[in-house]
Amino acid sequence: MLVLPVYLLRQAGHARRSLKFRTRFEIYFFLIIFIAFFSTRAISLIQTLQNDFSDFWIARMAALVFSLLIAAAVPFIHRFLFPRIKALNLMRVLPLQPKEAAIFLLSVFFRYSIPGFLIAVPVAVALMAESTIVLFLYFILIIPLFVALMVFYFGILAFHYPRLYRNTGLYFFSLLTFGAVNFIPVGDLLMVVFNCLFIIISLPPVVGGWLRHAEDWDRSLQLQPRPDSQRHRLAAANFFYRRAAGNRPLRILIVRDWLGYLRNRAYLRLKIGTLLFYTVLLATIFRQVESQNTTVWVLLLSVVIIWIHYAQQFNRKYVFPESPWFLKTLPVSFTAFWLAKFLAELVYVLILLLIAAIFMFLNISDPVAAGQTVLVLLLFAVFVLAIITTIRLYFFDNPRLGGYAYHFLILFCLIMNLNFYLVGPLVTFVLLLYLLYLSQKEFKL
Amino acid sequence: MLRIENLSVSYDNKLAVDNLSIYLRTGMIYGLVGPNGAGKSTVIKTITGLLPFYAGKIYYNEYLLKKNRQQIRKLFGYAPEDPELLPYLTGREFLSMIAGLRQTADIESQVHSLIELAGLSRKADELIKSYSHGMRQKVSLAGALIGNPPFLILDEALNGLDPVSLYNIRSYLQQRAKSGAVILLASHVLELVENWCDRVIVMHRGKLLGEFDPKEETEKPFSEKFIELIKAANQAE
Repeated sequence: MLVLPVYLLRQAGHARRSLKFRTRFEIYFFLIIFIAFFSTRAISLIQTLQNDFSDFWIARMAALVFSLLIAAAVPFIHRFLFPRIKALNLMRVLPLQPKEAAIFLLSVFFRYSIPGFLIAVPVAVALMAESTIVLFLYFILIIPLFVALMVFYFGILAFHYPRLYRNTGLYFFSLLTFGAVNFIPVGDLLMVVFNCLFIIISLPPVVGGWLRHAEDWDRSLQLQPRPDSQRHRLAAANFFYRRAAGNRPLRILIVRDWLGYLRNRAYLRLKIGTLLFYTVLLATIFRQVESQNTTVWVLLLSVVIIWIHYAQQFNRKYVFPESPWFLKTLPVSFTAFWLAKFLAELVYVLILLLIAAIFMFLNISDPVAAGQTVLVLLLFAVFVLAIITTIRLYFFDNPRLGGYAYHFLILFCLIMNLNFYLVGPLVTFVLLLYLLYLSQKEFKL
Repeated sequence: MLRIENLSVSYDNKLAVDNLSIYLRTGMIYGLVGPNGAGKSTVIKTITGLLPFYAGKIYYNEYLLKKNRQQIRKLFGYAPEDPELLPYLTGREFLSMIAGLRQTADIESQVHSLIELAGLSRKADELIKSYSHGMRQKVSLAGALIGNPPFLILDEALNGLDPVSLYNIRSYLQQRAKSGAVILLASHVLELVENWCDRVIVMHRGKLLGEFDPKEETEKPFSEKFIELIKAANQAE
């Protein structure tokens, strides 16, 4: 069994290679964004240190940056790497003893901590060169974070595998850490307290040797009959559905799309996550950015959020491709299909914009300017949704291809509109009409 | 009646159906058989509007497919070979949705009776994503039957169904045929076609080999005749 860690170390390379190009691209893309973000922070840090230079300040900032990096990396490890580690299946197949399981879990943990160490060590050396007290302070701040993470991983691996990748706890953990260190003035202290509490809460499952029983517990859960409440939920929706079904096709199709969205847990998580993320970022903008620049920042953020968020409409995890027979053999018009898809998603866009409007009207003194910004965002959101709906119907059986077309079109239209004031919108409009014509033609065949 | 005149379909630069002409009369169950690659599914997909065709004409009663697509969509029920259903609807919801889109009267009682017919009662209120392949096939089949369309087109839609459901569906289809529907059933299960159908259309490499009465009393059963026919066609090429 001791051969496991060696095997797992080899797995690191396999896991990386098993990632698809798009996933790797996403990771690198966000990594670049984070590095860019921290680089800008570093400049302001140097300026601050020139004015207010103290040992505690250096340690505080170093720990802050480190914990932010950890918080940023955790969701990627959680979402992309863990579900792909085939070796983790051994926990399901082999009857591991607690000691063996602990070795196994430690290997997993340290393997993914290597980048963290690689970052922490040069910082520690640099800090030691400055002052031993600074180094000491630094470790006091980051060690609880490390230990908390380790214990947390033990907990989730033991109790939530194989549903590991569906667990949202780690996302919230990252979000809370991020929020604690970034937004609260005494965030460092809170972070330490938070992590210590986390250790205390998470320790019993590991120390108590529950690892051995985790598999049985999991299996017994699977054998339990479906709870009655779920049937009731379905029956309730059923009633709602029957009422809708008596009316026009458009209404039926909207209800169909809504039910498909609301019952897809991954989709709901995406929506709620985006909403939280957007709200936190809006709050950051209004807190950190100078008031004359807030409008530009809100515009930029909203455009990026709407663009990236709706790209998920081409991910099979969230939205299922339409069957050709459904689109082409039922007596439903193309317009009804198009409008249903458009309207079913529009509600969420309006919620996002409502949040932006609340922030704008509360923080900007000129209500006309705030209103104009919200209007621009609404137009952009409607434009993006129109593109998505059209492309989804055109590439109804190949969402991946539709996703590429979507990104290309948004980029193209943005560039055209920003650079060519008259011709740009005209070309965009014609392009959209042409795409609509193609979709409709494909639909009618 | 359903009339196909000189139909030719090609895709991937290959002629999949070559100058096919068939005439399906009302009140009959037709079987469409042939070895793999004969063009059965291509014919079915073409007459349901899923595939384009470059030559020929398809009539549903007096309606020409190319010109009256929307009207024709109201006339036929179609069950595909591999139904991709919406996973986050229940079976009952899915059928209610189809009934609503077809503007069927009395949705609830129709859906209820079709659920009973297909043997779906026990799982009708569970999400389709939890259904087995056979259950999905039943939902798809029930969806095609909703609204009593005058044309029923089933593309290998009976594969994987249990014997009780098959028995019920056979009785139902026979009743529908008696009341004047045209039923076209593509299958590669010769026994099923032999027992269920009034006429059998045999295809081979995109061409029509002939139309037969499977219940006609001859020296050889239909299945043997079919195999001889295919062998002869292979040798002739």
